[in-house]
Amino acid sequence: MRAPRTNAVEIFMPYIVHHSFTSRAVAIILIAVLYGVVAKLSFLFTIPPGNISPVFPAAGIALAAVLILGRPALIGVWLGSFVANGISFFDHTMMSTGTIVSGLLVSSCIGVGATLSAGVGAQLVQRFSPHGDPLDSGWHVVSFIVLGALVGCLISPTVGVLSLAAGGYVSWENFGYSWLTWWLGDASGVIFAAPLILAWSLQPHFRSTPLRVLEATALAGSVLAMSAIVFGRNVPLEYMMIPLLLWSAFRFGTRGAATSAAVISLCAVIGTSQGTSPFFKASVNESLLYVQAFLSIVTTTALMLAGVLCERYRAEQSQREFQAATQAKSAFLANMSHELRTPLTAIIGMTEMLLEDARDLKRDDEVESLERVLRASGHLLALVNDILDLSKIEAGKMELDLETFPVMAQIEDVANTLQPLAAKGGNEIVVNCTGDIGTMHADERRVRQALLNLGSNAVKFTEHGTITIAVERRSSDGGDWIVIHVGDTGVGMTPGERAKLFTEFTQAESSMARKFGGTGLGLAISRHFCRMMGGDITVESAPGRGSTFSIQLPATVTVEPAASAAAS
Amino acid sequence: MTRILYVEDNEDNIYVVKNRFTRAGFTVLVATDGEQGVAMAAAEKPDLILMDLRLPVVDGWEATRRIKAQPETRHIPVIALTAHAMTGDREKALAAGCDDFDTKPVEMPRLLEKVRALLPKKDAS
Repeated sequence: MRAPRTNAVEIFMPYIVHHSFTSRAVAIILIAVLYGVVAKLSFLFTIPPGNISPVFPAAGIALAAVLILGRPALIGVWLGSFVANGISFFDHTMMSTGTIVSGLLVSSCIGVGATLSAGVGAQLVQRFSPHGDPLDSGWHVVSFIVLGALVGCLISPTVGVLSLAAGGYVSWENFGYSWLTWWLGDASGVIFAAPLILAWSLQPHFRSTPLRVLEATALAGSVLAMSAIVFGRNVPLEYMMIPLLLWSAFRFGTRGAATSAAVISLCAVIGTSQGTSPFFKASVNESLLYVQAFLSIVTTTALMLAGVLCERYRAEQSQREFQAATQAKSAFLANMSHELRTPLTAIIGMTEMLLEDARDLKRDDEVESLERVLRASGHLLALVNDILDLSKIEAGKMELDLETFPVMAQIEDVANTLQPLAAKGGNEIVVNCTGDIGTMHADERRVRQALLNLGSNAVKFTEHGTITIAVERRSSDGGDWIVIHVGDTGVGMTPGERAKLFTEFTQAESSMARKFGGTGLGLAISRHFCRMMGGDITVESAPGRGSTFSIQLPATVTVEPAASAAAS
Repeated sequence: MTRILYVEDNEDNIYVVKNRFTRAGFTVLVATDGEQGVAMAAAEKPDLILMDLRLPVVDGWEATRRIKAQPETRHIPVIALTAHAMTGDREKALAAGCDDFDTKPVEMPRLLEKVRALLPKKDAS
C-alpha cells in the first residue's frame, strides 16, 4: 500500500470523502495484502510455547492505516490477519473437517482482536491529537505511545490468546507468557512501523537542499554500517544506536527518527535471529523480546525529541507569521489613512472656501449646511488620525519627540482653546496652580493632545458647571512629577462605566457618542502616550457628582520607559 | 505681488490651496512633481515654496535638497507639507533643508502665519 501524501489537516478525513468505491476497495485489499505478508514474515520468529511472534510490525501497519484512511481500513486489517493466521494453521495441522473449522474460527477471532486493537488504538490516539499529526508534539508522542501502542495493543493478545487456548493450540498454564509475548510484539511493532508510515504520509517540515541530501546520505550510511557491525558482527556497541537516533531526530525530525528506528529494528531482528547480535540469549526468540524492548525505549525517546522539535518549529513559524501579519497590518493602516486623508483634505479645504463665500454673500441657510459638512469631515479626519495613532502604538512604532517647555503656558493655551466650546454649554474654566510649576521635558504635542482630550471630554459631559484644571509639581524620591487634574461637575460615571473607559471605541453609552461626539479612541490613545512617557492617566468619578481625570508625568521624561511601554 | 510656488501632485489640493492663497492676495505657481518643482524654482525665483513631500519622479525631500544646493535658489524659504503623525517625515524634511513644516489638511490661518513669518519683511504687508 502506498500511503497518500496528504497534509496534516487532511490525514484523518475519511477516505470516503475523496475516493470512489473502487479505489476504496483497492486500498482495503492492499492493506490486507501488506498486513498479511508482514504478519506471515513475523511468524518466522514465533516462540515455541504457543507459537507467538515477539516481532509484529503488522500491528503498526494496521494502526497507521486506520489513522490515515479511517474505518474502511479495518476491513483490510481483519482480512489480512484472518488469511495470514489461517494459512499458518494449515501449515502444520492435519487437515480434517474439525481442524479446518476450528482453524477458521480461531483465525477469524484473532482477526477480530487485531481489528479491535487497531480501531480502539486509533480512536484513543485521535482523541488526544484531534487536529492531525499524532507525532507533532512531545505530548502527542507520549499519548501515541501509551494509548496507541501500550493500551491499544492490550486487546489483540487478550482475544488472540483466549481463542488459541479455547481452540487447544495453547495450554492454559502458558497463557500469561504467550499473552506477554504477543503484547510486546504488537506494542513494539506499533512503535516501529506506525510512526514510519505516518511520518512519510505527512508533509515534511524540512526543505531538501543538496547539503541536506548529503547529510541524509551520511546518516543513512552510518545507520546501516553501525547496524551491520552491531547486529551482524555481534559487536556490543548497541548504545551507538542512541546518538544515531538522536541525530536523525534533531536533524530530520519525525521522519528521520522513524526511518532510522525502523532500519535499526529490522537489522536487529535479522541479526538476533541469526544469533549474531549482542542481545543473543538462550534462544533466538527470547533474545528478540529483549532487543525489541531496548529499541522501543530508544525509539520512543527519539520520537519524543522529534515531536518537541516539531512543536518548537511550529511555534517559531507562527511567531514569524504573526510578525509578518502585524507588519502588513500597520503598513496597510498607514497607507490607508494616508489615502483617506488626501480626499478628506480636499473636502475640508473646498468646504471652507464655500463657507467663506456663503458668509460673504450672507446665505445663512447654506452657511449652516456647510458648517455641518465641515464638522462631519473634521470628525472623520479625527477618526482617521486616531486610528493611525493607535495602529502605530500597537505596532510599537510610535516615537516620542522630547523637548523642554513651560508647563503653564501649555495649560493656558489648552484652556483658551477649550473656552469657546465651554461657553457654548454655559461652563466656566478655572485654572489653579500651586507654587512655581516651571518647565517639563516631555513630548509637548502628546501632552497637549492628552490635556485637550481630557478637557474636551469634561466640557462635553458638563452643562452649566465648572471645569477645573489644577496643576502641581510633586517631588518624590524618583524625581519630580507634574500632576494635572482635570475636574468637572458633570454627569459622572458608575464604577462599571469607569472600568470600560480606557478601552478603544467605548464610550460609557453608545448613545453618548451620538449626543456628545468624539471618536471613543482619544482617551485610550492619551493613556498610551502618558504610559510611554513613564506616567499614567487615572480617574475618580461618581454618577451625578462629576469626574476628575489626573495626568501624572515625570517632569523629565527619559526614552527608556517609552520603548518598554510601546512593546507591551 | 508675492509669488508662491506650490509643488503638489493632487489636483484637488492644488485647486484648494491655489484658490485660497489667491484670495489671500498671493500669486500661486504650480509644479506637479519634484523635478518640475526644482526647475520652476530656478526659472521663476518665487518668494516662497510650499512643498508636498510624497511626490512623483523626485520626492519632496530630494527636491528640497536640490533647491537648497543651488546658489540661485538657496535663499528661497521652503515650507514642507507633511501628512499628520507621519513620524520621521518632519525630521527628514528639516534635515533636507526645509525652513518650516505644516501638517495637512491645511489650516489656512496657521499656514498663512507661517508663510508670512518666512517672507522678507517688505513683502509681508
